[in-house]
Amino acid sequence: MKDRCRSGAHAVCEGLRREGVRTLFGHPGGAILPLYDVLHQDPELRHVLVRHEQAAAHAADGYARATGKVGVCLATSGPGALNLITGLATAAMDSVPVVAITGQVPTHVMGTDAFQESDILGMTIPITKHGFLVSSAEEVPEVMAEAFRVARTGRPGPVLVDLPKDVQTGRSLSNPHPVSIPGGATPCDLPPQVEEAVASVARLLNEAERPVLMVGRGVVLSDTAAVLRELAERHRLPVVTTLLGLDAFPRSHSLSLGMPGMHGSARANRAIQEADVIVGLGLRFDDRVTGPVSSFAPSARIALFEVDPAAVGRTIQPHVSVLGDLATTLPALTPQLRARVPETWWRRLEGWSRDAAPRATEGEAPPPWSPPGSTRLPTGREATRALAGIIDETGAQVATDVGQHQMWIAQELEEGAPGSHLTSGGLGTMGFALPAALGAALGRPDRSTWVVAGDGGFQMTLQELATVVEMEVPLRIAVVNNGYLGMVRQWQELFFEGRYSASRLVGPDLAALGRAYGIPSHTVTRAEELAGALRWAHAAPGPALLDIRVAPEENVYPMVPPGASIGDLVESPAGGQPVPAGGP
Amino acid sequence: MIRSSAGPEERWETWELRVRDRPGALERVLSILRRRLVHLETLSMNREGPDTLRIELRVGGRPDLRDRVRQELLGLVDVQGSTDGEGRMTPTANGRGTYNSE
Ligand SMILES: Cc1ncc(C[n+]2csc(CCOP(=O)(O)OP(=O)(O)O)c2C)c(N)n1
Repeated sequence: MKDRCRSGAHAVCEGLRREGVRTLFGHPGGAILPLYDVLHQDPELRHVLVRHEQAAAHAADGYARATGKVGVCLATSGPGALNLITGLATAAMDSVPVVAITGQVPTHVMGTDAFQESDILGMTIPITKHGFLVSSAEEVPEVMAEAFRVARTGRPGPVLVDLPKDVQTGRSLSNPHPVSIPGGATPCDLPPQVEEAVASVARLLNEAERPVLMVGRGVVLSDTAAVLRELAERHRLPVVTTLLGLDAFPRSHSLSLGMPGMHGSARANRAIQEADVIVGLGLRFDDRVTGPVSSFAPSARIALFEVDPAAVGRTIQPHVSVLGDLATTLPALTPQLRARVPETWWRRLEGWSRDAAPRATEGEAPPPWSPPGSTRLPTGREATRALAGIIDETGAQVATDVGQHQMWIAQELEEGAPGSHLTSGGLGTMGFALPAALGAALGRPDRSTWVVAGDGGFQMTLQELATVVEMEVPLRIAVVNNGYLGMVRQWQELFFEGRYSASRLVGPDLAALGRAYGIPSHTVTRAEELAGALRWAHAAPGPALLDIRVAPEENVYPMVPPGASIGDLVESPAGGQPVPAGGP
Repeated sequence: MIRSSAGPEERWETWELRVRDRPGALERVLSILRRRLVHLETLSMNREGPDTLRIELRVGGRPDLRDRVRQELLGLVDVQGSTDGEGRMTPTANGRGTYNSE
């Protein structure tokens, strides 16, 4: 095609290809038809038709989390664009690079409340890093390049590109000149103030008696899991990993203390409370991790490595902060460390349990909840432990939804390469798992992909089963079905005297539903069927669904009661019942 | 109104932001001030050129919160620079906004 005939829509597709995009997720409609028309003729771009735009955003997010690349989603104006919002907010909270392209009514009717007009740019301002309203076809190449750059640099996040219909059809007369955007070079030398801060952290660690490393998603994003591991091993530093940092350092490692916070391990939480030095790597000290700030790590000097200066001190004010990409700052720390962690600290740490629930060790009697060979339902703990087991064993990636099963899986996973554990940590978005796994599986076809969801969250986006079948994505879908909005029921049991207001779920037969979509599906109703059912799903040639019925009223432990210090965790059901604050 | 702080801790300072005039740029600045619960006393905007706006803000709140918010504003793509309470100008990393250093 002659350059002179290129439309704005062509320029969009060209921009996508130039950024290395091969797969995008979307749903068409009037205001984005010109772009879809060009997309249709582009053999290099694979469009995945989701059944609801929220799923397009989650799928782009899952694709990005699993691959480390920018995920792309597409929607039409008005209702289509608005359906993206939950997904964009989810990505923003967890620093996931996503570019969302939306159709908009033609420029000459904008501002008139035209059919399917909505101010998507205005409405996404608080949940995006940036948004562009493209006013002419000529701007498209530069906007596309800048949108991708903004999405992936610094703290990654979602970027909106709003494209009025006439911009898509308008002539993009200029040649598709290579776009150069200033900036982007990584400095080789650390700025002096950063160098100084790194030296202060080294001094803190070298003098520490009870140090702890706290690791977040920043380590995954900066691809520094190997650097971290070497550093921790060389100095025998204890490592705590947040929900979004679980795949930065495996829990199976002897230096891992597990996850901190509301459903964290005794070892992680008590270590933080007794530590004299805490070094945070790419985490934001979220309130679910810290509990009340005033009672967090009372005796620790705290240092934080963080890429986003505006995120430092929002909850915990560190004594030292090292600003910059961990890929440059963390290697600078390594050569300055001398200390080996005192054995007394390790002996103390080992006195606290790292496991959320007891495990049978060889020669020991099995814990009381393990399957006695009866016909009883598995517990949620048993189901998720078995799921985590097969996920670990097969090197699979997993997307979890939100609720009890999410916490159980987080507590039970032992392994996991960076980018293999996908969950909505910051926003806690139910309905995330299935579409995110769809994106992750298409991004990483080399990995086997599991979905673990509750019966509540699964029903929020289950229409995507159709997409899974159409795209022949071999997802292993496990619904941990307790017949409740489990985490809500847990809070109602513990903090609202057992009044189960609107938390009982009367669900459909999920296996029948799965089959209706064309997915081989099984219902598991006995603990002893679990292992076989998981093997069956793992071996399935295409998608497979398991409706795992579990004990209806079981709680997630350990639990730090809301409002309590993280050191005051309740390890088992016998514990006290404190005052509620916040919510599930 | 939810205020970040009040009483004896309250301090005021004036910032001047240089902002590229693109759709949503002003709203994005205001959105951060509102979301981060900075107390806003005065706000004025002038056009400096066909492409540039100058926004003057008088903000209150704890100094650490204000500093963090100013950092966040400096991270916006369309914010080209900002003075601090002492009138010193901080340009963004490459003059066109990077949302946090690259
Ligand atoms: C979209 C959305 N709505 C509501 C909530 C509040 N919420 C958190 S956990 C939960 C219950 C989840 O139930 P289910 O999906 O069955 O999982 P379970 O806790 O039983 O494992 C709810 C309603 C949420 N996180 N997200």
